Amino acid sequence: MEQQAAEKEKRVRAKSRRALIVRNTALTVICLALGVLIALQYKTIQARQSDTGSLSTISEYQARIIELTNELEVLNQDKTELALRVEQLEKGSNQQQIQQMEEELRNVRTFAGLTRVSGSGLRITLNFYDPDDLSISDAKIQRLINEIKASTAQAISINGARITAMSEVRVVNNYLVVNGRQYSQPFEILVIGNPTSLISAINVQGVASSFASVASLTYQKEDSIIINAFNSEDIDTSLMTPTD
Amino acid sequence: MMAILLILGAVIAMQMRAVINARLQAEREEEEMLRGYEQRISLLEGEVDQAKREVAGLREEYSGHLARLEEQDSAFFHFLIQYNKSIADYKVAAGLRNVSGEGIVIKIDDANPLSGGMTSLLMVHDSILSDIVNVLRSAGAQAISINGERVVSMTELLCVGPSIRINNKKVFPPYTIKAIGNPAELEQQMRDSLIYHTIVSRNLIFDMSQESHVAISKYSGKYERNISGLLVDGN
Repeated sequence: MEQQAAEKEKRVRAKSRRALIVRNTALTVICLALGVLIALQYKTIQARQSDTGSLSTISEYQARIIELTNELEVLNQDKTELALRVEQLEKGSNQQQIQQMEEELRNVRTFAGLTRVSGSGLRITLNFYDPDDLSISDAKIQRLINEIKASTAQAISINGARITAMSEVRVVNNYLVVNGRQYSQPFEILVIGNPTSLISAINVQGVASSFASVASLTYQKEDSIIINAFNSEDIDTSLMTPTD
Repeated sequence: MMAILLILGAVIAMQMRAVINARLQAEREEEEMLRGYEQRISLLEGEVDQAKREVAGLREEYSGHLARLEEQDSAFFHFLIQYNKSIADYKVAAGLRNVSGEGIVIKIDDANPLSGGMTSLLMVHDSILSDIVNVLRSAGAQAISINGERVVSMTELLCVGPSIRINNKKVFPPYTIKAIGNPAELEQQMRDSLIYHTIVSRNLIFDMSQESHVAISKYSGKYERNISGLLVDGN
């Protein structure tokens, strides 16, 4: 009887020991699976983040597309220009050819800012309340010029200085420096372009209002603005070699 | 106990599937996008090659005509050559020709977002590019381009969302600014400028190097459009 009871207890103990082993194993397996899962999830998140790696390939591709589009655009212009020249040589009289070349030369010089031009546009006047504190308005002046250029401007001058591709417009020591020369106020900006578009560019973008606290900005629409030529001798091309 | 284990098992299986699916999906989408870009690029490359061949053909035709003209009417031939040379020279000044020379190359990009600060201050704005271009001009730059866009007389630099509008085109960061000029002078004036200190203090990604050979492309827009209607009086 006593022996039987002892045996039973032994069996119960063995059973519970087995149950414990099973439970432990199950838990181990679950934990392992969970660990693997967490690792996988972590890796996925990491992969997403390092997508910035392939993002750089994407931006490289985009840059390449822009580059190729520009190249194609330039080549198509070369094509048109050459075709015109060939046609002129084939069919045009000497007189016609001279006329055509004169026109091209005038256009190129005008685009470079080397001819005196006229047309309708705006006369903008800027008077700063504190001319000794002009440097705080440097960014505003640059924004104004950029908005004008982005609108329909075809020619600009500031206090008579014609703006070319290499013309700097910046405030240095409370002077406005344009083409290497210092100017003090009042500043008069002449612009040839569509007056209505120019006015809306100045106003809609909040440019004019940005001057409200520092200067009086006035503008006047004019039918015949005359802008002087930039002196071609002042354009330095000595360091550049044409490659086309 | 069993029930909990069962639910856990099910959850684990579901999660596993979700994770794997998400990864596969993301990979598929990315591949598709890249393939699209590749197709577009190879298409454009084909068109560029074709256009190059056509231009070369026209050049040949043109020089053939010129050779004939030289034989038939030598005086007019020389006059024409002279005139064309003059046009070509002014095109250099106007930004209408590809040019190369010594100079500097500046690379600038938005700051790493982890460097802290206001997001707006971490970005490369139009005003920063405008300042850089002005400093380079002051330092005697003879030609400047930003991401291949040649800076000409009416070139605008304006923020449009994350991009900057240059020559009526949207240009995205990182920005590469090339300038032809005296390399030492260009770099010195850049380093002495206010904008350089702003760039450094905002931790914008910035690199500047002097180079013996900087190639700058010509203006890619139609320049005649910019001057149409302008009355030229005198010279």
